[in-house]
Amino acid sequence: MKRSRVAFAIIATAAISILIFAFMAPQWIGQGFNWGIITATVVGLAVIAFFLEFESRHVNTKELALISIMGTLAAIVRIPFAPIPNAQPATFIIICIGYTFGPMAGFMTGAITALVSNFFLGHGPWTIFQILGWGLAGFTAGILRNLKPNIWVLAAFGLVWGFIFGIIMNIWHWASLIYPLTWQTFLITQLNSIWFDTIHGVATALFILILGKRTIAILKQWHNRFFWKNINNEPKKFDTSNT
Amino acid sequence: MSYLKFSYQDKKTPIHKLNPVITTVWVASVVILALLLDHPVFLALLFISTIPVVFAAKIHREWAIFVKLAFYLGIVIVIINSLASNSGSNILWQPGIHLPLLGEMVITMEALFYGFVMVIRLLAIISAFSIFTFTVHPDNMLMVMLKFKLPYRSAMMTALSTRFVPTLIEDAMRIKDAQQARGLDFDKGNIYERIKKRASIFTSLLSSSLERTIQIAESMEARAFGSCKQRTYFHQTRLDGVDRILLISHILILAVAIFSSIKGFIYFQFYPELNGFVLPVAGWIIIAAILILLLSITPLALLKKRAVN
Repeated sequence: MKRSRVAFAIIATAAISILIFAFMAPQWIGQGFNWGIITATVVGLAVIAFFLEFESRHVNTKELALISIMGTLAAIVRIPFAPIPNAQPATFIIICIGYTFGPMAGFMTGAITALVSNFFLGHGPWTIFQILGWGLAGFTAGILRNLKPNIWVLAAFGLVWGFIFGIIMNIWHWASLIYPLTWQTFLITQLNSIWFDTIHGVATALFILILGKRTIAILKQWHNRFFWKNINNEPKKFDTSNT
Repeated sequence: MSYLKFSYQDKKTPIHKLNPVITTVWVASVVILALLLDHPVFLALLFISTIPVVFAAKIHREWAIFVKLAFYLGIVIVIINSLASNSGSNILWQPGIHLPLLGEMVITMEALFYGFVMVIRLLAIISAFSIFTFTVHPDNMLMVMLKFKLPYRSAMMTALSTRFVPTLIEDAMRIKDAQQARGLDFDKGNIYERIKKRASIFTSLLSSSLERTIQIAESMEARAFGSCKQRTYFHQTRLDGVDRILLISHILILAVAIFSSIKGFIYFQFYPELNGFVLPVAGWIIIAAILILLLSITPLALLKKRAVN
């Protein structure tokens, strides 16, 4: 087994055992152990596991460069829109990359977008949650590709991701700063950001409807230039032994 | 263009010259401590202990923006906490209004106090992260990722991506100028038309950056990227004596904090009644020790005469 696979297994076990421990022994919570730390640790471990999974794959230089530059693109279109929170095409770009290049490329693009844009807008505990949110948006878009959706399905997918992203971003804030932790308080925290999530979702859906087909066509063209299947039909060797 | 600049600026203060690994570990321990313990006095002192570092790094102006943001978030936190929790015993206000989801509206002193303590927690965390954002260069952050044995390919990709931000912004500006020279007026028409016009910048930028990826990939291949399993680095970050002392002291801080939290030395009860302002002597000693160790970063950074890079 590869080293990164072993690390991946260890991380997955650690994350799951932390969660099981937290649910099984609630009397320990509050004694060197609280939900703010638990959520941050588990999400951090999940993100590292994704990175290791990417690392263990054989990715060629072209794809590496593509993911980093698309991360930059998604990050820079995010920065000028920062005054209007969430009305930015970053999620749209990430979904398109995931859709064209597959789940892992989508995840990495999302992760890099979060990291790079926060070098400009400021890091915080929210960075790892953004990595997870955007990463999973790209990842699920890569899975959705197998269903061969039309543009309307993709737009609906973008709309839904606007809300899921909001939920992921609220988890930390809710788990570490609100008491008691009930579904009612989570719903209120969610209502507080529902306006931003709606803008995010609607903007992403609109971008997909207006620009989606063209963007995916451009990306597919690039994809076809460098990724091709090796069809194994070697020409028959001319037999010279008889002559 | 203001957004071309990093949040980071090299102000040549001792804090900026600190080893990035140490700054990261310091910030991480403040954040973990803030999440670990919820004693109001401790959290307030933790927040106050970040302020000398902010001033030593001369980033107070940027820091103030972060803190203001935390205040806006804080208002929401106080409101939700005081509405959501009915388990306090000192009722301040009970107007007899029935709220959806939450039942009867009761605002207790304990819930209000809890909300304010959580705002202090948020302030401490955001203040620590602002030090991280404003005093560690992005490339050095990635160096830290490598130092902690995190996957290097992802770190390299992030570095590459960060480096191309100014280039791509320049590209976007150039495309915009070119479109305007062709007679495209970006500020005319209804919203749909405006989006369509801006889309023309986007698709051109996408194609040109895709061309760029090919150049980058080819230059990486020309330098034999990924040909060896064990890679080498141009710059090496080394930890010298003072750095090692700081690193060990931070690990100690966290161990002591977890220990005292489990043992109940630093314990505060919010509900049903506020209790725990008076701690056992051991608790106060531990708090003092933690804060002195955290604050020691500034004098140690001043002591150190590190050459730039």
